[in-house]
Amino acid sequence: MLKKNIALVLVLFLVIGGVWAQASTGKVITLQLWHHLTASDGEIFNALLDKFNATHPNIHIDYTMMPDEQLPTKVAAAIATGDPPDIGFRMMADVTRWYDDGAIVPLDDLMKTAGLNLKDFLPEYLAASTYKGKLIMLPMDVSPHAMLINVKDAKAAGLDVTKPPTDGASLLKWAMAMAKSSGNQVTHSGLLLTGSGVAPNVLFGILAQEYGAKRISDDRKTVTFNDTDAPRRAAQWVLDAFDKWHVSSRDVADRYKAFGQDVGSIFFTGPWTLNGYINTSGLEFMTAKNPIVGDHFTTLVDLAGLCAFRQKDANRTKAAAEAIKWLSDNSLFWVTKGRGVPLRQSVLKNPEYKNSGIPWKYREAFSNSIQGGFLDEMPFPIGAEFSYYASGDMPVAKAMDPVWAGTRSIEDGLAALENDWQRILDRYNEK
Amino acid sequence: MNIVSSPGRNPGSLFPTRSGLLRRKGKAVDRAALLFVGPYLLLFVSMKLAPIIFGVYVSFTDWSIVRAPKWVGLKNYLRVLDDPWVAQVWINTLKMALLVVPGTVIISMLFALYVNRKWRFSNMVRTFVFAPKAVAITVTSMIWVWILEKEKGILNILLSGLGLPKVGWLTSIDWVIPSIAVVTIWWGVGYYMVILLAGLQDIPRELIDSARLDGASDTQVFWNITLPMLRPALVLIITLEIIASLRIFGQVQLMTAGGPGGRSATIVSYIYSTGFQRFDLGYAAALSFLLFLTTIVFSWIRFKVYGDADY
Repeated sequence: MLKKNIALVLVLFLVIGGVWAQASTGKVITLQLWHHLTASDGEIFNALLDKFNATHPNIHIDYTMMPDEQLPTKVAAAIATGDPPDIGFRMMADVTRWYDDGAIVPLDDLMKTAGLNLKDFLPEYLAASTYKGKLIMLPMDVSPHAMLINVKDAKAAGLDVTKPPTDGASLLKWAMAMAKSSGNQVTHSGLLLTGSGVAPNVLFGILAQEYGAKRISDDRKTVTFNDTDAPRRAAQWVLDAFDKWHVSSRDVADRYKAFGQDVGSIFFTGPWTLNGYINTSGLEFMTAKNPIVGDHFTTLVDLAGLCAFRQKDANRTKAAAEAIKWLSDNSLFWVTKGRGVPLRQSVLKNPEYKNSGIPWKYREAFSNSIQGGFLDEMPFPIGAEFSYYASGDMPVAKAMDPVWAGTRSIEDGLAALENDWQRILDRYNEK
Repeated sequence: MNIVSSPGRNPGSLFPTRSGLLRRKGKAVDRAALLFVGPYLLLFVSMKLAPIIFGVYVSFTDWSIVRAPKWVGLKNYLRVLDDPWVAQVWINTLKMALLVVPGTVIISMLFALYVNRKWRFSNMVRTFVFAPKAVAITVTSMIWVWILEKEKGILNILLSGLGLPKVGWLTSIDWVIPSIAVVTIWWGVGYYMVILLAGLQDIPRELIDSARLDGASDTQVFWNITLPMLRPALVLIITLEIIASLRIFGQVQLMTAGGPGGRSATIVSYIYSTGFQRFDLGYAAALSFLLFLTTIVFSWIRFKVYGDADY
């Protein structure tokens, strides 16, 4: 009898223990988060995710970083197989496409329930994260382009580094002073460009927008780019940098490496380069807002944020919302040590924003550039096709790279770009 | 006695002749043979044949992976006529192939002849020439990007030392395709050298010896014996290299990303960006099918020129 009782107690103990253990482990929800942030950006973002994991015993974020060009393909495959990640960090154009595919959960109500005050966000960037009337991405940062200037080159050329270029004339003066040539060949670019791809296309885009160009109509049905003279003037400016003013060499292949190795002196780029260049030995550089070459200030900005993928289990969506809110609330770490400019007024006003992470002297130009910037990727499913950050067979590169190479006229390049964009728009609207 | 002959046709075969045979249309089919080829057939059908058939079907649809494909008939093929980039990438690829195919064949032939002669350093040459093939094309491409860099690349530093001007190997419209072709040849020569070397070693020694006894010079031996006897191997490597050149992708993507001005963009790089960056899989499949037809056309031309070599 005693044996029976002991056995019964033991069985009961095991059953209760098992149920209790099951209940406790059942409370931990593991979320999958996929992002495209690599190098130092990836390390900082992962550190932020580690902080989340350390402070949330009931939610664990299992994060995966993958190259920029691979993420959309992997997400598409995951959606198709019914197993998407819980959270994604991405640019808006991709998120709109996933939303149209039914894979994204609107965040408006989820964030309200989670207790996030959406009024804290800069309204223009919150609007840019809204699609078909729904907030589908919570913006984490915005990355505007600004100027990086090699200080040693500027000083060697007798330029006053406390007064960086502010307009087209002074930009040209600085670029000419720092450029070096041998005969007609530019051996050191005063203004760092490459012969094709992102660098000349981004400068072309910024200048075109400064002169007043508008890529497409508000109803997204018609290409309006060539309605004014702005693109032609912008393209001429870029060509003149190569051929008339001789401040830029076409023979630079890797713009990032070129600035690090002092092959060029002024470089228009985003804040993701800061960590790398600060740690480059022998490179002394400063940053400054883009000069106004055209009619008004603008710059190219990239908007990135967090989105929640639709899940069968409502508890996962709730946990994802909690995680997204926490990551946004704690984005100070990301935007000071990582990259970009915060979009929450509370973070912008936080004294720590200027006093922690990457020194403010480097970040200030970027932070001051977000007002008046234009979104490079338009916030709709084919928005990336209209990007000036273009290389390979992206429309701007296809049309304008031959112009930079001198094998196509500006007029033909702009006409080809308009045709290509219109064809893409027509196909999109037809669907 | 032929002991390993086709089972079912030869009653003296080592393979089973009664219990293991099925009869189909009067011909004996060996069950054991079916078991042996079964796993391969299964993989071939599921991994090769079915995707090809599905790919052809996709080329007639509008599909973005996530939603179900929507039948659009010939629309994707008609889009090709309206897409100026298609002509550009086809021309670029053919230019590349025109340099790579003869370059690879001739240089691998020269190395194979050298190594086959067992002249001085031939073992070392064989190893060094084959070594690049052991390295992935991604690594090869990155190394050559450094070598060919205009200002700090070792090639231009050497040229400058000789008093020659620096060349933008990967940034100049005139030089980009030849530069990528050179890298492709450097990478591929070793593999084809080995094939040709095997072909050279298969040539009966008596043929060459008797030609020499008849007073044939080295040149006469090469043109009248070596080259004709190598014909099957040559036809094989020409065919393989035509196909490889039309599919060139990795080195272009890594070395130039299609630049400058799209002058090095290739068919496959366009298919890749259309399918996996724009998710326009129907159009990408149509382009892939056109690439397949292009390969068939070139293989047909090869067949017409060289005939049906036994390889």
